Amino acid sequence: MLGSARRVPEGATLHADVCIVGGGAAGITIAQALAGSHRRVLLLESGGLQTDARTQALYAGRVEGHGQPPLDASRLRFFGGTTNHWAGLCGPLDPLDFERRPWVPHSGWPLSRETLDPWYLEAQKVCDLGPFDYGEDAWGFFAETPERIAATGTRFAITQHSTPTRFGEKYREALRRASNVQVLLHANALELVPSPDGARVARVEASTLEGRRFRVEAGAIVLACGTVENARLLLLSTGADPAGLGNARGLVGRFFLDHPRLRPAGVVLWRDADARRLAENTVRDGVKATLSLCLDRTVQKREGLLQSSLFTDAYHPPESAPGLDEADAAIAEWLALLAGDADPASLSVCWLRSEQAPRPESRVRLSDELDALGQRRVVLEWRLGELDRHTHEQAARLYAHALTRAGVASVELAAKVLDAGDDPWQRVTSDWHQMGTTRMAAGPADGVVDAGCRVFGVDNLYVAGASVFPTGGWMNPTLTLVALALRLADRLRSGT
Amino acid sequence: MTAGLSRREALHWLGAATLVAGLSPGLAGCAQSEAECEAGLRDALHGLGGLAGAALVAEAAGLSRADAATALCSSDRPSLLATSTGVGLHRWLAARREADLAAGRVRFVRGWLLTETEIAAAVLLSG
Repeated sequence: MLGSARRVPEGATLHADVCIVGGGAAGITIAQALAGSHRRVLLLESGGLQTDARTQALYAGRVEGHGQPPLDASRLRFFGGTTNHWAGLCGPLDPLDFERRPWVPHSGWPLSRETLDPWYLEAQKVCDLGPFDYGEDAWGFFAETPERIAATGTRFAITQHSTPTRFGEKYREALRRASNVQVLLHANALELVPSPDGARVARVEASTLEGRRFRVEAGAIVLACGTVENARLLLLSTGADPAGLGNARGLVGRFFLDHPRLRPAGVVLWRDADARRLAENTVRDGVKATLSLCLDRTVQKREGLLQSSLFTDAYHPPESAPGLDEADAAIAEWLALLAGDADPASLSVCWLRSEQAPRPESRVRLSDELDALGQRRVVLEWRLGELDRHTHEQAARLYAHALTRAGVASVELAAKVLDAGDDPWQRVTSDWHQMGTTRMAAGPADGVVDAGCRVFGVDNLYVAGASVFPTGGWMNPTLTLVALALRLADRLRSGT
Repeated sequence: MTAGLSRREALHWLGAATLVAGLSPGLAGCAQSEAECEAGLRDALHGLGGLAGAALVAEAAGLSRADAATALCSSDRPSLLATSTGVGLHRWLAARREADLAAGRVRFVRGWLLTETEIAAAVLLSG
């Protein structure tokens, strides 16, 4: 069923078994997974079916630290959420991402990649992807796999391209038809009000943008309104603790993560036609895939590096390669002439995406400014550190050495990569992948939710979305957050 | 152009013949002096073209022409005949490049990760 909170009577109390706050990738996935079950589901969505400026403005906030896009531009606040403008790139996190790495402080998930694999399998379907197969040989990139590249401490990684699935459009009709699911548009959750003993959420206070107030009482509450808003709503819920709900250890909002990106990182002159396929996409059964390079875990451990991946894109001058000036082009031409069998036009732009080291100083907090609902807005502080800088510089060099040593390319790294000067962060941009803030941990001393995504100390409160990621690897986060949402839905379906 | 052969095939054939000649007694590279090697190699590199790019590398390389010549001609010297065609020169350069890569003789110059042979060739050509 699909309705509008504008038609809910003022002061009404709505009841459900499961109340989902937020209609983006995570919220819609859970609602869809529970459709047809015996659970009564109520999904609160702040926006309508289309974007509108007043609702979108509720996302505005302040950005501090390293460069983040404006908060009311990086996210979309209407049914389907940020999948309404995502690029659709998907892949699972690497098994290493789930492990505790001694050289990465605060690393390690309280669950393994193996635990998540069955849910990744299902998430592939939700996101309209191909088979859960991320081996490069399965995608036929190379006539003959260039083992020389793999012998240099690197390995290949596949990223699959979703259509991209607009969750709001794709799943709207199925949810409209589901008799046990009600999607309520224009419904803004304002606060989670705890029970007197603070051990449960007693109700969700909600309002339309026009000020019509109502409440929801539910057996289970799932926060699924995005990395920044999940933390914001917990911090705004001060009924039991002025620090916010689930925030006894002061961890809500902390460990905000993104994927730092160096683009362009440099230029690749291919000397091997087969290896050049690294810079091209392939299609299998209608699904597009991209190939990139990663560093082996042994190299990461030896060098003390975070996860990273080097992408190479076809070079289409001049817009796509601002780092390639006339001098670079002249040197590329000379190297091609020197090699004899390289084509000076066989150039790619390369760029690097890396994991961000989890740091408590990288965080979301409340500001004193109020939005149109009278709610405190947020301040997002994106803070990078020494391990991030070390990873950018060392990983870029290692990829250049790998391709050069393999004999498949000559590589130029941009000056800003080799020497960032006084400000190593001016070269880094955000990849718009917001993660962390309600991180998952084995115990409340290290995180906000447990391995089952339940908030420590609050029996019926769950968090869905990339906000639960303790570390974010280098891969786009959507497939993993959908897999976690499916796993959570399975738990909610059985009522445990 | 040789009838029935593409330019690449013709160059390949010429190169192979030249290499054979280069290995003949009295014509092998070891018979020439370092000065002869330097002059011959410079001419051969000049024939490949790309002077502007080589000059940019040379300018930033921090290597003298004498050191570049020594690096290229003190050992594993190419025969004059071998370098007189593009194919022969390319083969010699490729072998040197592989040896450099295997030995880790690479460094960044103007952002490009180059082998010592490539750097020396740029300096010799531009000197």
